Amino acid sequence: MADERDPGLAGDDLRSGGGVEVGVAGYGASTAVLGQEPPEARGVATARGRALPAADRATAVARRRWRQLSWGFWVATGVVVLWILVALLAGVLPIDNPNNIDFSCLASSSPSGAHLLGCDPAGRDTLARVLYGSRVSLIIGFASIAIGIVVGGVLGLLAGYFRGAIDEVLGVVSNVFLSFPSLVLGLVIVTYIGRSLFDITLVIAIVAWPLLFRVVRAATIESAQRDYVLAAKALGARPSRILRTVLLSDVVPVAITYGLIGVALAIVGEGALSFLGLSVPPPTATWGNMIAEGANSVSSVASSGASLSLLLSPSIAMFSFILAINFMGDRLRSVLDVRQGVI
Amino acid sequence: MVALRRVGEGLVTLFLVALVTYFFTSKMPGNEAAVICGPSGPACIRHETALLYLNHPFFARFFHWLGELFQGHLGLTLAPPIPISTVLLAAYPITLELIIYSQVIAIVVAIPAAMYGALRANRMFDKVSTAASFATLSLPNFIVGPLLVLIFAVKLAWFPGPASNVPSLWSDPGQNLYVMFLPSLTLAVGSIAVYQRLLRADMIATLEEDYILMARAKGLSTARILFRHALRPSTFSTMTVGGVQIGGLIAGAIIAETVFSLHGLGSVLTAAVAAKDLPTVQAVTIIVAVFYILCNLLIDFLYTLIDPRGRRGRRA
Repeated sequence: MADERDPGLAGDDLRSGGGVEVGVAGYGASTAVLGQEPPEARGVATARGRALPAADRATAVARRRWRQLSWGFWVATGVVVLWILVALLAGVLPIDNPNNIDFSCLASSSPSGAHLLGCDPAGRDTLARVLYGSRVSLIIGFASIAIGIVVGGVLGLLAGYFRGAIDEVLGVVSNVFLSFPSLVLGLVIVTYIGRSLFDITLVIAIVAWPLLFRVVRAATIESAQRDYVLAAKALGARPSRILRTVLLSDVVPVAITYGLIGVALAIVGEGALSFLGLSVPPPTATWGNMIAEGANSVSSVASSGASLSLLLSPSIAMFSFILAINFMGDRLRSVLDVRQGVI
Repeated sequence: MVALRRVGEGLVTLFLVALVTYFFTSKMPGNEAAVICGPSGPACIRHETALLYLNHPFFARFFHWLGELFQGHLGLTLAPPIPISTVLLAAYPITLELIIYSQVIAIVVAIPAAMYGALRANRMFDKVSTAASFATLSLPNFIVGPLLVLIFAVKLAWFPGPASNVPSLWSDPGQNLYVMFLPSLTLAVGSIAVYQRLLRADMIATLEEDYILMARAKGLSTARILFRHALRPSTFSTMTVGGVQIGGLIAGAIIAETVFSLHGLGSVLTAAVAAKDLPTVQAVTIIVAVFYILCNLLIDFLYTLIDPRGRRGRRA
């Protein structure tokens, strides 16, 4: 996705201080062997070896890991939740209609009492547009990644567990999708599909699924080699049962962690399309098209308080959300010990 | 053998990429001819339809297009009808320069920052630079670009702003590099963050190796140890990610060209998408994808050059 900075690849584990390249997808036994885990982790790991019921195992592990999350994680979660609330409640909040034109604001569009963040050149309230703009970003970000996780996740589970021909074919297909720089692929599909909210969601999902497919596939392969999968097979469990009960619970944390980072990437991707004027068409406010307007007014008009606010307000909104969600993803990844090695 | 296999895989991927590009950018037969002809009447439409293979089935059209592509016939832009190859030849130097220039800036900044951070890990500088690169990774380049314009072109007026005249690199290199600095920095910011993080982590690991201890024991200077002994083995993951980064750089170039009104491949592509100029979208996309795949192949080979251990069947 657009920003092709891919935190998934870029991010090393801040806390591990780098170094040990484990390539471990899951979070169980193999890390305990490396002695990176607190002692009680080994207990859990052996318990996992005996293939406890998935639910018990998951809660035991989860409870211990939640405690390792720092306060920074909860601040980031707070920011994300706040933006989700804003997006949901934008209609109820005491703000202007984002497309309402206030002619008195046209001339003196600097921040004032009536318009806290000023107005854009068309006389629309910047604060209202920033808050409503969160809707487009959040809907597209979460919905496209949800589609991507379902499609990529199911295919990844199948490819990783059964290997063979299905894995080969899906591998080639995902490679082809990954052979395009993602913004270019996005632009091409936009030409083909269209620019409504639903179209753009679909575009981003098409760009995103191969990454999620790869992550889930690698995690599945890793986890399918564990003893408890062998045990389940020996007990006569059918593949569908192994996939649903055993593998799914190993893979879901990986998918969710990368999904969070995916949401950030999807929002950046939508922002890039918007910035280029090729996402959801006007007059709908999106952070991307507001940043584009702000950039124009900053470089064309002699910069005043109004044009500053026009550029900075949507930029700060977007940055705060992406930073928060990346931080959540990064913390979760290090706590769940989901490594970049899975890609 | 490994190399041959990689090239083979690359060719298959290229073919499929061409297929996907063509699929996504070709619409119903006839449309394109109607757009080209405008009001010129049915004779023109019949002529164009035959010329573009529009009344043939999908795969016939695809192979016809691929054949033309191999001969360098990219077709005409929709309006005005100019050969696409002319447009692309005029546009590509800007994009290429942006990408290369940005990487030079990124390397110049990231290597010393990562080295110093690794040398004094978890000290003040290291913590600040690591946090800064994490934050930077959340800063999309369509925010970085306008901010750089605001600070360095509008407020401080150190550098020219958008829509400045870009002289040719060959006739006036100084002025060219000066004008292209802000656009390239827009691209570089993200790369700096990525390279700093990866290099720092790898460098910390390398500095714990025995041969570094050995070098210290021999009494070599810190600078010599860092640059001659530790740098090369620390660049492997940075190199690999560099390949992936190129995709990001192409996306970044599209954004930077828009922010600074430069006429590169990115602005050709965006304009074509906005105008639904399918032949041009097809041409730019396929060229960009080929470039991307070739870069990644190249990086694979460079990797084996830098890391001798990879020469015997790294992918086995």
